[in-house]
Amino acid sequence: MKATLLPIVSALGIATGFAAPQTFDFKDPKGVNHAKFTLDAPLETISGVANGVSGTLTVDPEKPEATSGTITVDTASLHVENPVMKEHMLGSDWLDATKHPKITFTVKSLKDVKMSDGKASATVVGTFSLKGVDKEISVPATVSLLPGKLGDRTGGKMQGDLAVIRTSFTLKRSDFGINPKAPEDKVSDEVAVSLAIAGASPKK
Amino acid sequence: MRLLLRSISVMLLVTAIAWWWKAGAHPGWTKTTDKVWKYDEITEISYPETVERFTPGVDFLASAAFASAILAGVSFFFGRKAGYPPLGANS
Repeated sequence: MKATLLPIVSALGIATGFAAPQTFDFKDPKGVNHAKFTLDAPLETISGVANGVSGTLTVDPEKPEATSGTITVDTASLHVENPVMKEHMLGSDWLDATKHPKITFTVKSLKDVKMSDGKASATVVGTFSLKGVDKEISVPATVSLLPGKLGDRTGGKMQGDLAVIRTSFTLKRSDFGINPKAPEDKVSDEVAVSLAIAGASPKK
Repeated sequence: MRLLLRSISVMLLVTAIAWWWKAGAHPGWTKTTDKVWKYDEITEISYPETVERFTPGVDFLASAAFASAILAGVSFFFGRKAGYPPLGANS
C-alpha cells in the first residue's frame, strides 16, 4: 500500500511545493467554509447550512495516510430558513445544541489516495461525533492544495498555502439518537451532508 | 357590523393569497431568511450567505384562512339590521 502511495504522494509534494508536514487551520473569517445538509423525506424536504466551521488538519505530502486532525462545526450555526423549525432542530429532542455545542469529525487516516487534475482524492477514515455519540465512518474527499494562495486571499497580509477539502456523505440520524421517534415520512432518517472548506497554512 | 366583519374577512384572505403569490408562491413553510450563493474565486468554493428576507409559505396562507374564517364566523353573531316588515306581513 505504502509502495503504491509513495510515488503519488511525492509527486503531490513536488508539484505543490509541500515537502514537510503542514498544518492547515480551517478557521474562516471570510465565511466561505460551510456544510450543507438535506433530509429528503416523502412528505417534506428539509435543507440547511452551517458555517461555524473550524479545526486543523496536519498533512504530510510524503505520508498522506497519516493525515490527522479535527474539523468542528458549531451546532448552533446550523441554520434552516424557518425560525420555528430551527428552534426545534437545535432543541433537546433533536440536536440539543446547549448540551452538545460541537459536531466533530476526527480524522485518523487517509486511504486510497489518488491524483487527478492536480487534485488528490482519498477515503477519509475517522470518528464522527454528534449529540454525544461517536461513530467510525469512512467518507470520500477531494483535496486541492493551493501553494502561495494565502497571500491572494488575505490581500498580501499573510503569506502561505491553502488547502481546499470537499466531501459528501450520508449519515443516519437514528445512529446518533436524534429524535428516533420522529416519523420518517416527514423527517428522513438519512441526512445527506456535503462540506466545502478551505484551510490556511501561513509561512512562519 | 356584520357586513364590516365579512368585508375584512374577504380582504384578509385576498391580501394573504396575493402576498403569497407575489412572493413566489412558496409551497413550503414560511421563511424569514434566504440564501444568496456567492463564489470565492481563489478557493473555487460556492458558499451561501444568509440574508434577512420574509417569504410567506403555506402556513402563512393557512393562518390567514383561519383568521378569515373566524371573522366570518363572528359576523353571524351580529343580526341583520332591523328593516321594514315585508309587504302584507301585518295583513
